Amino acid sequence: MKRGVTSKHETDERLVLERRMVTRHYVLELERDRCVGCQIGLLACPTEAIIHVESEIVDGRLARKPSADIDPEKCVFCGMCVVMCPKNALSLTVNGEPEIPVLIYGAFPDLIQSTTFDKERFDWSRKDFVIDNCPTDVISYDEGQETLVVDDEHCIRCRQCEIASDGAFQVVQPWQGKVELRREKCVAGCLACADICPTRALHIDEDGELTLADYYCIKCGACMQVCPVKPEVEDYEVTVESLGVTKTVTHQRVTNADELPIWVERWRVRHTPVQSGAWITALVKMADDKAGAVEIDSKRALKRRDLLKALAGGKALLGAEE
Amino acid sequence: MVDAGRHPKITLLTYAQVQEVSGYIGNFQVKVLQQPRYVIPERCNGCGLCADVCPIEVPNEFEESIAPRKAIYVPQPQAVPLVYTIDLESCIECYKCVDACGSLHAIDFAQEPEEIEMEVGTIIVATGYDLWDPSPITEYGYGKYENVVTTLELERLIGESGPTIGRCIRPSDGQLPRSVAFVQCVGSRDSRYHEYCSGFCCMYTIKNAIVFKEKYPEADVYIFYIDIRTPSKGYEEFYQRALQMGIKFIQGRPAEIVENPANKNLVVHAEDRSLGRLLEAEMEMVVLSPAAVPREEATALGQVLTIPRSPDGFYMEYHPKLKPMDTASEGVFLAGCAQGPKDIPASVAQGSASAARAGRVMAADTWEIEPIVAYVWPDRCQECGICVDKCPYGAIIGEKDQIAEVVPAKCHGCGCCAAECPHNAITQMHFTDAQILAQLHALLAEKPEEKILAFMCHWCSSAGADTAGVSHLDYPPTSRGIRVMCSARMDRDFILEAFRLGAGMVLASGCHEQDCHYITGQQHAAKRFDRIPKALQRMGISPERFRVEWISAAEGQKYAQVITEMDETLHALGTERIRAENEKARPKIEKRLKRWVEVPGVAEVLGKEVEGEDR
Repeated sequence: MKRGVTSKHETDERLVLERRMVTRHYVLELERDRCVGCQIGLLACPTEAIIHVESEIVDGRLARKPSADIDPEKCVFCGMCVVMCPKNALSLTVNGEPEIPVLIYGAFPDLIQSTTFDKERFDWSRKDFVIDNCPTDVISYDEGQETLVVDDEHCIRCRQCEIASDGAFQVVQPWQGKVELRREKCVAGCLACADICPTRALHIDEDGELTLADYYCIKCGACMQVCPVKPEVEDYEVTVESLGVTKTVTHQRVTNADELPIWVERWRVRHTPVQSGAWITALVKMADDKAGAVEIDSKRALKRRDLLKALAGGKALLGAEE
Repeated sequence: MVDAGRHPKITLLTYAQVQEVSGYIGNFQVKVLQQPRYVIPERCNGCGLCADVCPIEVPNEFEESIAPRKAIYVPQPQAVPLVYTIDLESCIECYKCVDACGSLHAIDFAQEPEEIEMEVGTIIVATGYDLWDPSPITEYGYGKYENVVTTLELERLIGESGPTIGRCIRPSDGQLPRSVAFVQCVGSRDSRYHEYCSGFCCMYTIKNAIVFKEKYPEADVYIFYIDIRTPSKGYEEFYQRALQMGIKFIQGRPAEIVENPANKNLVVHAEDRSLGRLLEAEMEMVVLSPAAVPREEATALGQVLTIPRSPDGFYMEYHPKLKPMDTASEGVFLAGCAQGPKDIPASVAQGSASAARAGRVMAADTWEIEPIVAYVWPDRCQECGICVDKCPYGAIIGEKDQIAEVVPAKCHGCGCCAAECPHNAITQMHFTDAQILAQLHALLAEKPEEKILAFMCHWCSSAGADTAGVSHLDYPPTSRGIRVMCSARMDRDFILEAFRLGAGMVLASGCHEQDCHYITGQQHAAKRFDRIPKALQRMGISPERFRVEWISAAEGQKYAQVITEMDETLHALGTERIRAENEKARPKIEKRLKRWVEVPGVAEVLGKEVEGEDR
């Protein structure tokens, strides 16, 4: 392995990118188990280093998950994908310690998200059910403190525990948006999206029917990636402005949203305040036009300020006025 | 460098590439591509606040990737001009630098590459060298074993201005090595990679070893070498100082370096040639001294400037002894390692010499060149473009379907174009067809079948013949010489004409390929001569009557030998047979040469004789 040259090691479990200098040793790791190929990382990546790996559907079921590959020649170890990954599948360390450069230098916001537990409100007879019900197995019982604890690093904020615990768990999701399932537009017999959905928002009910429980959806959009009905897209240009620099970003938008069996829209994301061109560019790509209207175009955003305050409950969103 | 940057008459164009050079000495037109820095040089004051806020780290080329730099950077702290540059490939465009730059407004993401055109009188090429990547030598494990480093990496580790502030740590664990081995001639003086000696490695290794030993007197320092070369002033004394400091010099190139996986130490296997026994030394760090190699861009730039390269890949000087700064292109000079590996004093000397050579041209209103240049008769040119390809100097302008034109200031007078032109549309001043023809006729006027006509190039074989004479070597008196500048001028027509006139034997001789004074002139000639024996045979002339020999100026003995052998062949064939062959071939040769008479001046030489013989 040559000094300074990024090397890539792959195993069935993980994809590791390593850049070794004498004083600084960067390691970016993708846990394949967690990755659902949602493309958020790909959209966030400023150097187009992340490559989408297509899924494979056999008889309406997922034979191979979609996933991501990373080009070692393009990756600059900025950590934007690590922040955005809805499945917390990516991690970045420098000299063995977790370190996300874009967060340290304020070039990217941290997402506002949380899972809290009120043990007073909890019906303890449901303890085992709540633990087993978690799709990512991040809830465990702490005997010392006699409470349920959440592995915050890996929780994907799906709100399954919120419902299962009847509100004792409270979850703040970073993304807001909508999800729609139009079963009549599906390829007959296809259940692939239920196989990929990390939250069980899309699931197969007792009658074997594909069902959407949209409350659990984290707007990752992995379902759209596996859906055999592919959207039609067109390029459009958005001019973004940050710190006095304007930049035109070419982005794609879906033109036949109404025709798609499964449709996820990301409207806005809760995040800490930030001023950064990299964030605006990433947001334009990750979110839908509507989110663009909210945060990207500052003039329009200002006009809608009151409306947005109402929508966002007055918190988080407007922290970042560009 | 700082002085150069401030000099009112020096304009520095950094982060720029020479794209195109046309014109000639005193009148070059140069196109330069200025790459965008995305920083406005006039506004940047080099404060570095932008780099402080940049979140992106990439390996620092100047630090040999030991430490990172930011995506907005200066190549090194002493860079001139001290202007930051954004490496847009790594930049995530967060614009934090724009914010940090504040009211200076020096950052401009809208910059585009810019083409600059300028006129210059002379060009000095000082593009330096690259250090060879030693990873192909797998037995040394560079790139595989962390504690095997190159000498430049050590320079940065040991330098007080380096990323470790002079703490020479080993890469694997950050500890100070208690023993270090320097390995010399890695990829140089090695027939597998580079045969030449890189020259300056012995001295910098002794320097590094001394610096290391002074810092860490307890450490064991070994130098594995083939020969220690310390030829310049004060160098040997420096070597003696290293010996006295207790640095151990082992004569023997290591056969293999093996890592101990447990502690990442390195076991060096070598033969100690002075003691004649095998040696295994466990070292905590190994420093390789790789070959100095031509810059990667040398090929492209060499083509732009029409500078040939030596077999080692470095730019070739015009003459190794007498014109070591000049190149084959008049007005283009070399300085430093671009011409070949050399140390700092030698580079400075050559740079100063080149500047002086260039100064002579710059101070002159007019510049005299040798008058032996080529000339194209426009009315005879058939626009085939062959001469343009053959000219070693790029001195002929003219694409296909365009009348060729010689740029006299670029022409060196090898005569290759004149010999290669299939339409006899080019001649060389002072070596015109008519002049050479007149010499042929004079030399072969009497008893031609008993004579050996020898074409000799000016620089080598003519001088070789001279050496034979000066050395009083014995050889038959039958040879008659015609001197041209280069074997490239030896037109096939001249050789045929010699046989038509009845010559017994013909010799074509010139410099050895590597000695050719006209870059590729000899190669063009050799290709041409290869086809002649067959053509002669078809005409009925014994092919052994034509001989090609490459004879250097020092090879007087060889010249005498060749003439002696040819004389023997001449006698073996016998004048009768030669006369008969010539008689038989004559109509065929005449047929082939029938249009020659149209060439200006030729009719006068030929015409007389044709009349005298035929009528």
